[in-house]
This record gives sequence, C-alpha cells and structure tokens, in this order.
Amino acid sequence: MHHHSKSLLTLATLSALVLTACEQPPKRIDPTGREAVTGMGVDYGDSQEIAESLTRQMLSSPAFLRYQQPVLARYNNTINNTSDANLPANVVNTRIRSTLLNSGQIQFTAALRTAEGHDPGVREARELANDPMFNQQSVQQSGAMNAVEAPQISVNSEFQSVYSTDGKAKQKTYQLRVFVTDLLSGRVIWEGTSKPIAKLGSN
Amino acid sequence: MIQIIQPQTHARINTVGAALIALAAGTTLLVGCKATNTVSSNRPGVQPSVVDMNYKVNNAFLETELRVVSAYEQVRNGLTFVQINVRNEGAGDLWYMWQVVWTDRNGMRIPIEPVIWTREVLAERQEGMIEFAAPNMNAYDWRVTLEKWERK
Repeated sequence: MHHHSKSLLTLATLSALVLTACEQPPKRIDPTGREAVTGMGVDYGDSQEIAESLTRQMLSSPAFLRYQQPVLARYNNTINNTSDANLPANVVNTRIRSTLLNSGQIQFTAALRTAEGHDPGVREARELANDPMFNQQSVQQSGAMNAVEAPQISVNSEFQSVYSTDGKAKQKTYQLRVFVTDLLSGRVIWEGTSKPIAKLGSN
Repeated sequence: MIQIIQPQTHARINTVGAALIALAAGTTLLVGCKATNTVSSNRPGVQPSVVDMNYKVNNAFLETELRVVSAYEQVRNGLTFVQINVRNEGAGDLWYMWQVVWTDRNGMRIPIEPVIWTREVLAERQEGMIEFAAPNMNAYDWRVTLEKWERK
C-alpha cells in the first residue's frame, strides 16, 4: 500500500513537471484589448490612441476651412526626437493619414519624391508616352491640361519624449507634435500635440 | 501620510478590536485621500445632456463605479463630434477602456479598422470625458462600449 502511494506521488510530480515544461500555445488577442502587452515604449494601442487624439483635434479646427475641400497636402516623414529607435511611426502615420483622408477634408499627394507615401507610378505613368507597347489613348499625358496638382499645405510630425526617474521608479512620456504649414505663405496654420502616453516602470 | 494613534484613554478597549478599528479608519482615510473635489460654474443655458442616450447596462457592478452622466454632440466642419461625461463613483483610481463604432443611416457599420480600445484613468469622484469624432459625413449614429481595464 505504501509502495503504491509512493508510485502515485512520483507520477503526480512527473505530471506536474511535464505540465510546467509545456509552453503556452500562442493565442490570438484583441490588439488593443485588456490582454495587450504594456511595455515602456509606444505599444500598438498607444500608436492608435496618439493618432486618434491628434486627428480629432485637427478635424475640429476651422484652420482648413479656408481651402476648397478636400485640400491637397504633402505629408512629411516623421522626425523621431526620442531615444527610442523602434517607435511605430509608420503605424501612427497610417492612422493619421487614413483618418484625415476618410474625413473628406484633406487629401495627400503621392507625386512628390521627398514626401511620405510617394508613389513613383505617378511619374512613370507619364513616361509611357510614345512607348509603342502601351495604348497611347490610355497613357496619362503630360502638359498643362494634365498637370499634377501641387499641394497647398504640408503636414509635419515629430515624436517627442521626456524621461524622469527618482532612483526607484522611472517614467517615460511620449507625445506626437504636428504642425501644418500653408505652402504659399509659409505660415503655420495649425499646431498641436497628441494625448501624451506615460509609462511607469521600476529601475 | 496619515497615522492613526491610539489614545491612552482608550487603553481599556480590547487590543484586537482597537487594531481592527484603527485599520478600518486608516483604510477609509487613505481611500478618501485619493478622491477629488470639483468646482464648476452654474452657467445658464448649458443643458445637463443634449443627446437622448440609450444607456444599456450589462454590468451593474461597473455602473456603480463608472457612471455615464451626460452626452453632448456638435457638428464641426461637417463631422459630428461627441462628448460623453463620465464619473468615477467607486473607491480609488479607476482605469477603464472605451470603444466606439459608427454606423450610417442604414445601421451599417462604417468600415474603419482597427476598432480600438482607448484607455483612460479617473481618480475617485473625478469626472472625465470620452471624446470622439465621426469618421466621415455618412456616419450617423454611434455606440460606445465601456469596460474596466484590469490586467490579467
């Protein structure tokens, strides 16, 4: 009887060890839900919140009403003025651009090589003129009548961060600054920052 | 920092009982320390709630902590902007998340991805605002879901 109990105990211990050793299989989660990982940097959910808070302010401003809507803008590449090289600037920019575009108030040019979202196809489509491989009726012609529209405003963005520590705890706060320039006058017509995202960790 | 000191005159009270009373009082005071007070104007003409809300409570426990006070709407530049005022009625800080879905006049969801949870925090008795804008001019109605943010 005693021997039997010992065997059972050994079996239970082994089972426990096997269960502990098993890795949890990956599972799908809501990317911004309660199970989303919170790190010290800018997480996926943070990126979306940054973009949402910023576009809400922009779209409620009367600054863009002076233009015939939708106004054409160039979107400049985001400047990273933080020590975090892995900032998800592309995720933030995608949400900002798509939200502004969907609003019907602002559109972006894809024709400029130095702007974010450059599409080389705009220029290449015009280089097909006189190429016998292409039906010339369907080729985008160059010239005044078919000229590409130039942007009236430019959207500039910059990631900023502040680091604080009291020896025991550390805080990192991120925000996105955006300013919009009228390209004719050079005046800044709108400027604002996103909702700040602050992270607290231990040293 | 608040300390509870047992006065000498109460030395006859059972020691365990006194400790429990002190602990309860201390807890109450500490929780009370995190509460907020609010000052606001009584400006005439500001309505308590402009939007006729349908507040569907699936979680009565959450309602006692996070209460929806009122909702406002305004059209700016052709887009509907919404502000929902909420209040933390529970004890201590309340971390919560909210999500909004917009629909058109046919009740169809405006296809915007990703639908995100936005995180907010309110101190005890603090009032806060949930703010969001319609994605485009076809967006007609909205539905906001509130959830407590408790890390698993």
